[in-house]
Amino acid sequence: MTSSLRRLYEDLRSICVAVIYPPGEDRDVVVQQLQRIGCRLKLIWPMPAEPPRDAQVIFFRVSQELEGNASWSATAVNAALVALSDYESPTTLKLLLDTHAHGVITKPFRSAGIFSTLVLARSSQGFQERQQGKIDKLETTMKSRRQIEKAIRVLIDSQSMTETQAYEHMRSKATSLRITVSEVAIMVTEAHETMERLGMGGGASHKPPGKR
Amino acid sequence: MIDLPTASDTGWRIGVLFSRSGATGVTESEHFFGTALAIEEINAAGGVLDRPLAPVAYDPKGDTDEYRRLATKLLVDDEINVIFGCSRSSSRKAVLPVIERNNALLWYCSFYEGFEYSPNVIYTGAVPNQNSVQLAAYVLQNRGKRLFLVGADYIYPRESNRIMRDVVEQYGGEILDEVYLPLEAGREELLDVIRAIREAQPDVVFSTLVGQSARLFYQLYRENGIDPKVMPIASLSMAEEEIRLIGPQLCEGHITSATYFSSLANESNSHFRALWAKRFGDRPTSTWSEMAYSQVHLFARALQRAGSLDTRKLVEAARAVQFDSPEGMISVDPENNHCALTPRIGVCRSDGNFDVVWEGVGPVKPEPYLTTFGFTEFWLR
Repeated sequence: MTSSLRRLYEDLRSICVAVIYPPGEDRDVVVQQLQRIGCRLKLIWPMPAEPPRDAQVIFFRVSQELEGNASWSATAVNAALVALSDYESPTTLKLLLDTHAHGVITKPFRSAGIFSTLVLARSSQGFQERQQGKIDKLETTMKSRRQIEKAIRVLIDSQSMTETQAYEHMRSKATSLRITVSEVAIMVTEAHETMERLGMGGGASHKPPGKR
Repeated sequence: MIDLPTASDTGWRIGVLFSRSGATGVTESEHFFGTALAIEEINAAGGVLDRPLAPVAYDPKGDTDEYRRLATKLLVDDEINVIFGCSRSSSRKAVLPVIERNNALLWYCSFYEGFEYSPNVIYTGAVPNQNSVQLAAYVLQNRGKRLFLVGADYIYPRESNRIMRDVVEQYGGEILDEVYLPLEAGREELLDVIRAIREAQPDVVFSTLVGQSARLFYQLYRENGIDPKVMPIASLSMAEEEIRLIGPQLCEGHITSATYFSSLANESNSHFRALWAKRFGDRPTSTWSEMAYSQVHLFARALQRAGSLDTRKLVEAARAVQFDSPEGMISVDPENNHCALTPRIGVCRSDGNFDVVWEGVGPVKPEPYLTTFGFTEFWLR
């Protein structure tokens, strides 16, 4: 926890920061501060159609003044996004929200605040990524649980096993085959469905009478 | 020891930064003339605390980079601390970093879209809760519910249209179309829009075009057979001087929402108009010149009270004074540095003046961060 948080500001000298903003005094304020912090910089203008690929952080202009705001947003970019905004009016806020940026700096730009916004944006992006990772993992888990439950029912019905026996059976097979339990479960279910389609299913007939 | 008086000893040095050319050169020149008139008037009466105002003026010619460069020149090279200037939001945004970095004070007299506060700016023009909402209400109640929106493509039109759309749709009206043209749109683009308007047959056209292209739009509108008395253009910016340039006979019936009209009958306005006529002849006064004129007087009162051009002292004093301006009593809201102003709706006459068909009962508190507008507060009686 502490070390991962520290990494957010300790590796700033090794990351690449892209600044997408027209040249001038406003950009100079941002660029010079990022140089003081020690980031590797990449200056881009005009606004590219695709986000820069090799940057870990992208500072980019959100403006009402010009057409050609970025059509890409944080959801499509694997980098922390910091918007450089010139107005705080509702129509500009709408543009800002559409970018899903992790941070925003509003004009007039000052050197103070750029560092903390940079760190906070990287932290939020990291947090969002970890959350997304957890969500993906949970979705996989839920899916495999459904598959295992389905296979257990197949084994109970067709092989006269108890629930515990069915699970234990699949688990030991998974170990010996070096695959996951849910992969074994898929094999069981698919095999069962194949047999049924061939008219060779009907596990109930194999069940010993005593079970009834 | 003898102290020889220098320019900076004898006068209060102030900067003036308005464009005399460029897309909005006409209205910004009005800002300039209003500013100059007030400075001359104050100096003729002995200045402030027995010292005259000593202006240094530059012309950024409508270029935002020039605004910033010349603001820097005023603050750094000329060692001036107080600037009267800027009109479009882009120019205000361009000078703001320079103003704040030098802890200077900008007096900004144009109406604008709000959503800004700087301790280094006094905003004396209207924000949307002092002109936009009233215009929407007036149009809906008196002209009809089908609107066609056309504007220049920059922040003020976008925000004004957002508010217009909100209010119109909230009250059962309909926005037939919302069209944006480049800031300096020409004849062909304007004729396309006029064709679209003739086809859509709205009750009212809400235009946030500005400058030269706005004037051409009004001219072509009438010349293409649309009668403003039947299908008026409603605007937040079209005022007397631009009407004169278009030709007043082409404009009879158009609607403008502003805090000042030249036709206002009060003592301060008579004084202002007489002074103006003596200096500028036949040109009419308008909200553009009047706000610029009034804010210099407000500044002079603040300076008299503060006795210093120091930003903090001046802002504190500005929040405590009032000026009985040609548009009525104006004062700075200490909460947000914007001005309490009286909203008005005017309908253009064939002589180029406006009949005030509605006005607020008194100054409306500025709400630069208001995002939603209920009608209840603004219901026009």
